[in-house]
Amino acid sequence: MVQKYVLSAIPDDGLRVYVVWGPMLGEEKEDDAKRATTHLPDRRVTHFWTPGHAVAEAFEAPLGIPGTRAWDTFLLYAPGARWGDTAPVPAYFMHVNKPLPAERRLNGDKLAEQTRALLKAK
Amino acid sequence: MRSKAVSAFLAALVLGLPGSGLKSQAEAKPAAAPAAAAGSFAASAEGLWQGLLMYKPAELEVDVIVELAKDAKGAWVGTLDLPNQNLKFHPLENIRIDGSAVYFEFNRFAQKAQVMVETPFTGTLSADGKTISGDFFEGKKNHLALTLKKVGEAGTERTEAPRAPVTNLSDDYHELKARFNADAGKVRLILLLSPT
Repeated sequence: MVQKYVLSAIPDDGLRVYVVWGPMLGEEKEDDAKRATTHLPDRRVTHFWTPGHAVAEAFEAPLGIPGTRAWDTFLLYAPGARWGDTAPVPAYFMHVNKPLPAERRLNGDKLAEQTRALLKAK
Repeated sequence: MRSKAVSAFLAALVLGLPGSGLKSQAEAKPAAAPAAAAGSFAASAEGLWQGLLMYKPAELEVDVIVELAKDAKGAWVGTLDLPNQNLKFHPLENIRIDGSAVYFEFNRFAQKAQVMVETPFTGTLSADGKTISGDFFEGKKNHLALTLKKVGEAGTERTEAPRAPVTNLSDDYHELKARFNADAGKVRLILLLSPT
């Protein structure tokens, strides 16, 4: 979805994407992450692998979902946002099956629209 | 990459779960095979085909690759891939090609439900041999439109983008934080995903 609606549709070099692959379902391995990188073939994408849940837990507070790991979320940041002692609050987010507003469920068109808006305001 | 949404969709695809939003059997029933075109039909269903199962545009979309060919004895054989699910060369069953009429079954054992789910496809090969348009009947009940476009001959090697480097995160994930802050002048998108 991100490849088709965001990366392929928005060639702007002012965009960077960081993918944290992890054990959302419980049995994923690092090699799965290496294989999955082929789904996002774009030089603006950086891939990370974590065998644990620390990153997903770090974003519980910024998203307001304490106790629910933030796997399957898509967090968009405006230029200038910095990561200090705690994970930064996104300017916009989308999610899949989280206890968050239904209107923020992943939609490629909406995510692309918000990305374009931040790039335009840059 | 498999998000839970896609997983849910695939569950619906192979299990026929209620509420999947797919058209009901009352609206469209799977035929054993669509009626063959009258007379001879020059185009061949042999080849490598690619399509997109679009459950909800921009929300739930699943790439599909189908390969159809004849074996040495002239019998149809075929496979189906779901690249985003890392499913490759899943054998198709009961393939029947009759003129322009194309029929095959994508049957999978659903581990969680411990049931075999049959998903027939009925379609029509275009006269120019470039597309097969039809429907997947997930669980033999609901259906989802699928147009397959020919992308190569049978046996064509599947193209796949090269793998990108993957950085292992430390316990304090400082590698991610550093990269995020180094790109502070950019618009940034963080994805937290399962790779399967």
